Amino acid sequence: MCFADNISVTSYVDKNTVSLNELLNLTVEIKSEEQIDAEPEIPQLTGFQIVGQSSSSSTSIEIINNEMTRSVTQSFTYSLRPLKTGSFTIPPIYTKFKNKTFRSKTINVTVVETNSNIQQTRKNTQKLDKNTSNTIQIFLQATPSKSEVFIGEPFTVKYILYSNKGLVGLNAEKMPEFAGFVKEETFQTKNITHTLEVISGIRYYAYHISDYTLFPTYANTFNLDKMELLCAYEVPAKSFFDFGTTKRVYIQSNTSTIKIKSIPVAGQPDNFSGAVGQFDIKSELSSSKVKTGESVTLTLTIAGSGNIRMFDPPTMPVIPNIDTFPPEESDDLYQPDNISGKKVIKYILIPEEPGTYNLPAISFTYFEPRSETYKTINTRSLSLNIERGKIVPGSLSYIRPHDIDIQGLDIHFIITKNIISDYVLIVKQAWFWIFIVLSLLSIVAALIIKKEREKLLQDKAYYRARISNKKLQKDLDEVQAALKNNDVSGFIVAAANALKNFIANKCNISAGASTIQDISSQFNKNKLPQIDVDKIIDFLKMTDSARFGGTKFSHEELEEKYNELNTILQNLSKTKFRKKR
Amino acid sequence: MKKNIFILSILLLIPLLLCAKEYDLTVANNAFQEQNYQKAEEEYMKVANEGVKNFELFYNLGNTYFKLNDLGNARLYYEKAAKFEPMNKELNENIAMLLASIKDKEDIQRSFVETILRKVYFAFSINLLGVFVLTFFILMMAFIVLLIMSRSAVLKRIVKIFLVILAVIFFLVTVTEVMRIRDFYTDDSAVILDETVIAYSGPSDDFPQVFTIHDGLKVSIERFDNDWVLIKLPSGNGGWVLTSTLGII
Repeated sequence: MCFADNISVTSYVDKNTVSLNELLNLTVEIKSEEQIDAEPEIPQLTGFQIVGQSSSSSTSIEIINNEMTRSVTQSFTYSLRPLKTGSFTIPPIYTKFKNKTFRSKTINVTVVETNSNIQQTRKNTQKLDKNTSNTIQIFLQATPSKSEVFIGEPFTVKYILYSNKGLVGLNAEKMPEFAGFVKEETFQTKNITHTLEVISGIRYYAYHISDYTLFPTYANTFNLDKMELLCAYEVPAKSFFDFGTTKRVYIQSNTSTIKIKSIPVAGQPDNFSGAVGQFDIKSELSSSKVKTGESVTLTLTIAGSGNIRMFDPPTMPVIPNIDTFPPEESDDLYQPDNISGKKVIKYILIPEEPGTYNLPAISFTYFEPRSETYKTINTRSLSLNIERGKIVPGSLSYIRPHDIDIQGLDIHFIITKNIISDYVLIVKQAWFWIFIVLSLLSIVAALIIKKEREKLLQDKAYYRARISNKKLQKDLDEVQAALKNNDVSGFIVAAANALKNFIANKCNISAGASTIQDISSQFNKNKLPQIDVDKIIDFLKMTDSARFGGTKFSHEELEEKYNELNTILQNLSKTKFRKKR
Repeated sequence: MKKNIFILSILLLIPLLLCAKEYDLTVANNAFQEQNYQKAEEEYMKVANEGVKNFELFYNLGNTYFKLNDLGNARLYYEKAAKFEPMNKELNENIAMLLASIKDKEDIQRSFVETILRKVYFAFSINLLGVFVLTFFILMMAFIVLLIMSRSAVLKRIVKIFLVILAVIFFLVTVTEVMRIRDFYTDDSAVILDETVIAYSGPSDDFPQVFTIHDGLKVSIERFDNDWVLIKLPSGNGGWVLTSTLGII
């Protein structure tokens, strides 16, 4: 007890010796003259765990010798649960107020194994004195449905609290975790209700706390997790002035051992997907007649007892020309233990091509713990009749184009041209160069032609000389025509013209104005052989005399004259004349 | 009349000049189709050994060697075929597939400009380019003749413009053709035929090893020294290998 500024802090316990399954009440009282705002600071308590806390306040007034004294007491009560046996010291408890610290004294507490007044086990119960009505007999019984199971094989654990006294409060301090199992809580009590059970001649109140269904995940031997409860019961009044008290007690469930066995690997079928239990399978189609593009549902139901939620649905065999969507899966488990039930798998099938299809049987393999063997069951094969339907893009049943399945890559195929020829470079070909040379020659030819043309245009004498032969031919044609017609005068005129025109063109002189003298002088200039000159002059004179003298010629004579003219012209054409510019 | 006969005789001569010796690949092609690749190879090689140079022959030989898993020879004949038609799509895809199978990585990185230039350079075959050269030359000569003969000043001006355009095209086509023919006849590339080839720093195996290469890799030839040849890798590294280990494209 400490006094300072009329503030005192006192701490005490309700008992100095406590058993492991009892609670110890630690009370801290702060006394002061006025109501103050202070709270004790509870230090770390070795060997105890604080499980509850309450506080109260009271005010007392004392009048002694007409002097009034007022005191305010604040009580803080902590419920401590002993964690182990032994002697422990509750350290001083400090309280701070207005920068001052107040402390209480230390308290020694001894924790013993069990209180003889509380019996937890059923074994001890049998030895109890049945007449000791004040003794509470309480125990929490965990009962697994099996002691030896296979991985995946479900079993249940039931927790029932037995007490020979009626309970007024129940608090779950620790619920089991069940490491190594997949657990499903199938029942949990909501109210403190009980049934009556007689065990070994003693009548008990049986409180059903909770039920679990457990699915083992690996092989081992497990001690099931313990459940811990805090129970409150009333101790009846012993005398008139005793109002009775409520006592609280900790209860732990008993230890249960479960052995989990592995599923045999030998002889395990390939399609085993982890189902353990006993099952039945059936399949049905929503319709046996559909149109392409419409959907049809294949429902597969696997019913029975076992780990229904924990296995994969069987794989749907690939059906050509029928598009299969990933299945929709639902589990329907039956109360109360969730072990029995059914798994419903719905496959949406969309046929792409019309025809009658036999949907193959779907097989399902499970492990049966009872016979410790694998069992494979099959659905019956179903028939589906598909008719050609109308495909409406955008509708739900429309089959969307899917990616082309590429099976592999290879090189391109050979070129299947059977007749080939050796490669020939065209630039090495003669014709290529012939064309090149011909093209070049065309330039040369063009230049020559151009030069010739220019010359013809510029040089009149040259032009006349070039055209003299053509003109002569024309004139000779006339001579010949006259000869043919035996036209003597026409022949003479034509022959004279032909000779004169030729000479005029050759010598670049005027044909009309040229006389025998002019022609003779031209011949002299060009130094023609005299014999030729004489022949020409004679011929011209003959024509003149024939024209103006009226000489007659026979046809033979005319032919002779024509030959003479030809000879003269041939000689003249071989002669090169100096041209008059 | 005489001139006409001359032109006619030239025209009749062209098909005769173009006519080359023909070879039959039916047996080889059938063997390939029957997946008898060994026989196909023998039959194709009979023709190839006659010195025949032909795109289809080399392409099919490349395919046959590919099927026989002889990647060195497959590459060699694909590259020989590529000399005729460098831009042939199927050939290039087959080469790409072969490159994915060979042991040595051959990463040819080309810039965008390089790719475009290459496409233009290889757009036409050598012979088609030859036809272009001839056509543009004849056209050019025709325009020159027209220029010489024309008396109209306007026509002459138009002809001159066309002549300049033609001359530019002719020059480009001719340069490309000359370069392509030079490439065609240059034997500066080879393909490794042996499965594993060790290259030395000199023309003998007494010299230190410089690198190891494998069949199917294309290398460039620098120079020869007796049985040895100096090759250059795409990365630029050089080394001497035995001539018998590679096939010249």
